[in-house]
Amino acid sequence: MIGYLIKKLIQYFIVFFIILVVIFALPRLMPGNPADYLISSTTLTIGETSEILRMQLIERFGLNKSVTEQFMLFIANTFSGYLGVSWRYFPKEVFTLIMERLPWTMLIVVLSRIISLFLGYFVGIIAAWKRGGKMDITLQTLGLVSMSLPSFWVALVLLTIFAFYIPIFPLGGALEAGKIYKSIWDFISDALYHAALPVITLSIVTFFLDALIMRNTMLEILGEDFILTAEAKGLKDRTIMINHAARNAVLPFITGALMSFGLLVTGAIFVETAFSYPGIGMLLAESFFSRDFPTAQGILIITSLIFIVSNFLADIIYMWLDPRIRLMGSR
Amino acid sequence: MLRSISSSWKQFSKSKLGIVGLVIILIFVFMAVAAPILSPYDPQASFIAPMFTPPNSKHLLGTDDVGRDVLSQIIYGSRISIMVGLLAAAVGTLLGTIIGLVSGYFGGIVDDILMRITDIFLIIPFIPLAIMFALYVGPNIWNVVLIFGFLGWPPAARQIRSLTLSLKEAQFIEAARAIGAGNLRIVFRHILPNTTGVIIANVVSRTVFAILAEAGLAFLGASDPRNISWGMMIFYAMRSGAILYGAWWTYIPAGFCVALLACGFAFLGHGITLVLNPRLRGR
Repeated sequence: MIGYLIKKLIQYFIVFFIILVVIFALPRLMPGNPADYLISSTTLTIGETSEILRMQLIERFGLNKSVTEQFMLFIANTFSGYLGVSWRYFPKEVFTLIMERLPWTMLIVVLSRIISLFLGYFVGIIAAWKRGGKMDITLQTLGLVSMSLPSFWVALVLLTIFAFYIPIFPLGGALEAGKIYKSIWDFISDALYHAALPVITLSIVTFFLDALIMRNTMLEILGEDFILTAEAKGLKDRTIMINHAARNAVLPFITGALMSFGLLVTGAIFVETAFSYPGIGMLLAESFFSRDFPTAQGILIITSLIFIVSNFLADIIYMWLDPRIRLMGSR
Repeated sequence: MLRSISSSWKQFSKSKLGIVGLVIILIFVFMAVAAPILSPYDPQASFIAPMFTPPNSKHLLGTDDVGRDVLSQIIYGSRISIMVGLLAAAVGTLLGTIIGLVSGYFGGIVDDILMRITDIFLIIPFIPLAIMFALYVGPNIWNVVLIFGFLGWPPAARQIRSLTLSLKEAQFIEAARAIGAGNLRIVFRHILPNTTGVIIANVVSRTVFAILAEAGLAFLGASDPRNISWGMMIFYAMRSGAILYGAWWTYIPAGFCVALLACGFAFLGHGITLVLNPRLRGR
């Protein structure tokens, strides 16, 4: 069991390492010295100052050292949590900046995940129960449709309807600007009020797929021998569905949900940008515009970590709940 | 060969969704090809009418923030979406097919290594990496094709691998080997043709993701500003505050086209899966 986890851990570590190599290599594969590139892409410098800045940059990033030394420095910095300094929000450290924004992303992603999974679980059970029925067919079609919906467009449609024409929700942001909160509840309700549309958008995009995953998992389980046994015992359809099939479907359903968590964090980039919601997704879009390389890099590193951690959690839970895998290593 | 195509078509035509998808795609392809004839105005010509003119008889979808005709832009925009979507999916599937064939046919340590690499690629966050890439090489429509090609191969690789694994045990492969066919010949002449269906299905399903990714990156402004694309239109609409002007026609129809085209490919893929997977039929 521990062996299995360690094997997975090593695998994820390699993934992370490869991502770091890519991030390190990208600017160095571009033609010219990275320092020239950095300077040419900042709007800060004009004329003479650029030579001084150039030397400073070379010194600062250790570009006069060998590539191996540079790489060691980069790896050491990353693992100690130093991701550089943001250019746009100078002199703020990228790590601090990301940690300020991350809670907002987590708020909308976690909330939408809970809603979508909860609804998807039950709708999936019903669709599997009445497979081939009207609802099942509708679900399959809507699953294909929702897979093809650009999340930012859904966001804009909702925004136009529920914030512009029928102004019941705010046009953007995570909190009302300049508002002073009387209590913690005041703050929470304002945050939820602003999070509502982003959460609904993300839920719409994922709900049908969650329901379909649940449905397919159920169908797979319904084909197994123990269901036949239960039927032979004369148990009611309802009992078989809920106590035998649905309970066994929880495991693959939850691991699937965890694995898609990371995917949703990157999916939030578009939704956050549409709602001007200040999470790391919007931060990434901002850093793209202001050519804030360190921040963009930092976000790529952090989102990769989120991907990896949620996959690893899925592995752990899967193993914990499934005795077949749990016992495998002890043999 | 002809017979197998016609029987496949027969199976496919039973899927209503598949037909709907095919029709949607054909309409958009026609739009892309005939864009110069179909579009009423030059899509790039600004101030042919005041900015944010609402839809009317002269401009069916109104004008955008610099007074360009929205309908003409939408018609031209189909070109980028279709081209980038298909190319990106094709590159990814091509790589995936080669890796899957090698991995499945040779097995052993080669298979082990290739499949571990596949696992790794499945976890790399695609969108942030594409944005990073665009940051370095500048906004460009080829970014999506390249990034998608190099990161989008794992699904194809896995499917082709498992198919190859079963094919290589088949008797006709054994027969080919018995008459002295080399590895290359067996892989390319005997195994590859049998994976055509899976390859097509893969291209189609990956196209959905590529279309969405291209539109998404363009929406963030990470696409070539010289080419009109649907995502780009939405980007400009957002930047000019179209929502606050109530100018929904500058972004709702463009996004709808993205959704519709992606939907077309998703439906087509659904129809193709029915042909490939007889077990799903009749459900």
